[in-house]
Amino acid sequence: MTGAVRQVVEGLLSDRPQEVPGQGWDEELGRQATDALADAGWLGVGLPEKLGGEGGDLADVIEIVDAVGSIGWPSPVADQLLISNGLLEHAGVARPSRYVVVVPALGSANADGVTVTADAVPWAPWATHLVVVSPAGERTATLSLVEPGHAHLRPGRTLPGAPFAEVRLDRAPALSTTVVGTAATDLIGFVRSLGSLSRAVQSRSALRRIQELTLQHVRMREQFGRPLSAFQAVQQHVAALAGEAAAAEAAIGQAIDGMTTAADVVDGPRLATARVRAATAAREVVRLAHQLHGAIGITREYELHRHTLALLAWRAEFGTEREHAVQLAEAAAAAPDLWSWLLDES
Amino acid sequence: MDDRKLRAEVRAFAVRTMAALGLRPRCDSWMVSHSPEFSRALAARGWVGMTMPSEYGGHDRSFLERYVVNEELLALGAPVAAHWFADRQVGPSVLRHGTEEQRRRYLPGIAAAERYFAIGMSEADSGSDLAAVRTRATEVPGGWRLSGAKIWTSHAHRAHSILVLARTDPPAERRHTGLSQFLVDLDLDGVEVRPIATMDGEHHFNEVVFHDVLLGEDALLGARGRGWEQVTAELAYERSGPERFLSTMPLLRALMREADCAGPAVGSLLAELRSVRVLSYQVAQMLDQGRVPTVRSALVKDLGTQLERRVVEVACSLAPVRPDPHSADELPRLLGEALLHNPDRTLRGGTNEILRGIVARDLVGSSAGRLVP
Repeated sequence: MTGAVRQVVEGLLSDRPQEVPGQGWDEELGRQATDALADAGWLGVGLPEKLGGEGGDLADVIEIVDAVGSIGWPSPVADQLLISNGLLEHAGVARPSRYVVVVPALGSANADGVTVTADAVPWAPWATHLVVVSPAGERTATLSLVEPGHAHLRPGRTLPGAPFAEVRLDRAPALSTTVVGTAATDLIGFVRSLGSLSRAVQSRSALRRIQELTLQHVRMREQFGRPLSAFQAVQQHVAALAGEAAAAEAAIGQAIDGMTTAADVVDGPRLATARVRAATAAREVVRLAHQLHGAIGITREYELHRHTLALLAWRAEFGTEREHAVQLAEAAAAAPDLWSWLLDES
Repeated sequence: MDDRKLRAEVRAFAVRTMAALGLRPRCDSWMVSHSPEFSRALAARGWVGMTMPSEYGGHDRSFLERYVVNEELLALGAPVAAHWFADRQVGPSVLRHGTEEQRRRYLPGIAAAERYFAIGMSEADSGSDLAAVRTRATEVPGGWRLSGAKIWTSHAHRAHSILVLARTDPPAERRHTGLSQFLVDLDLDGVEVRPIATMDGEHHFNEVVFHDVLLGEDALLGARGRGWEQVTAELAYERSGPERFLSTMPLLRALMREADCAGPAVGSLLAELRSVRVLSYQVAQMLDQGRVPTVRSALVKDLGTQLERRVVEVACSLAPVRPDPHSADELPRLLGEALLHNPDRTLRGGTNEILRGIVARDLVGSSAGRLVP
């Protein structure tokens, strides 16, 4: 079941290869492909038109993320749609430019300017605007837009090659400042939840594609005169992979169930469940998919690594598996009764 | 779905009735905790045979409502073993394949929790390989003559009837053909029930031997030779329920009350519980839509039973007690009971290896070709 949105986005991307043969993902080609999506308005989906967006709901956003994810190259699209648009919508701030990167750490803003330090901000090197959250009053925060030229960036790359940077702003001038009726620490928590949501949704796309690739491979590849899928040892792995993927799918599904926009995200057991289960599935599915693919799976030419390396890297972003697991355990331990807590009754 | 009212009613009923009967919460209660009194009281509330039509004594409720009731009972470790097998799989099978006369004969008793069933599938020489059953039903004037033996039949010594898979005709090109199902009352002449003690010292398993037992024509359930298809559907019911991930919930609840659980090991279990619960509920939705979720229930059972086992392992590492099934204290008792049943979680109802084979062959399609051992 491929939606219309997904078809268009996949079409746009398939015309723009992002790879230099033999050298893997090329950041410049990646930017050209993503620019094409931005030019066509796809990065404004999920944000109301009055805020410079294109309208559309979470289902549309997820179709776009799935389309980008099925190709598997590093991409800022999920974060633009889920983190940036989610925060802009919540704050009622119009989208100022193409790549709006939210700094997920508490800053300070006063007459001297905006100051913040954040470690490993995904896609910060691509930013055309940075967004910084700072305390205002007790129950309010300011959202400052800053030109990235004012930032000290220390860039790096994740395992699959996605750019990130340590971001430092030292009394940088704000282009605009908006007061939001949410306490700054809560707003930073909200940004992290949006990030968590983004990684959960991306993980689901990757798990689906890995399962697809693996099933294709075990059907087609023959050894000892038979397709791999005829061997019981292979079947056990295939089913284990499918079970892990299904569990993660269910976990991520229950986290987004009932949401109509990214801004609906809530930091709670449902989201933590999605992240923990996606991380567990990442570990097992990556192991099994590579085992089933054999040596072809670890070549640069074959697609598998785009998804497996990304899955492994995402586990540690916007909260680790352990942090999310402890969050769940602490919440359950504090509840009067485990069963009621599991049913979200309390 | 707003099921809070139903959940609250079941919870209150189960707690009150268990207290009145002096029955404690147990892990694996649907296997080991057999109380006709509890089952009949449950049936009197309309919570047995829920999905059966009222004309057969059922309650016309949805599979989702049944799911909710069973979740609550299992989470409390309530004594539901007496009616469990009849309610779970024999009722739906008789409804689906039975004659009008068979429905009227068996279903009201099942819904009232007055008639309990044992399941006669495995044999001494055919455990996972069900198509190899050797119990034989031979056509004789007026009916059938049944001979052979079934094994691992839980609670056959307390049941009224048994649903038997037997060979009626020689296998044709496929060895799954020529099998049929029979509804057999356990008080018939020539039926012998021999106890088999499990390693915890308890007796729920039996061997049921049929010494040329004479059955009427009306003992055949469904079509002659269609036993494999029928038993496959029956197994979908057998494998589909919340008992495939909640068997150790009483232990986890006790652990959360008595031990320091605020760490990543328990967090990971909780994420798994929430995830598997979604999958299990989706299976109930499939049943509700009239589908037979053979593959999906196999996948969920594989995940759920592994989760049950992990609960016991985590409890062993966190509980500040020694496992002791005879302890008067709850946590050591539940831990001991659950440990003694840990090996069979991933065996009963089809081993996880068999389940994964079902899942994989469905995923890779017919191009998988013939199996290579």
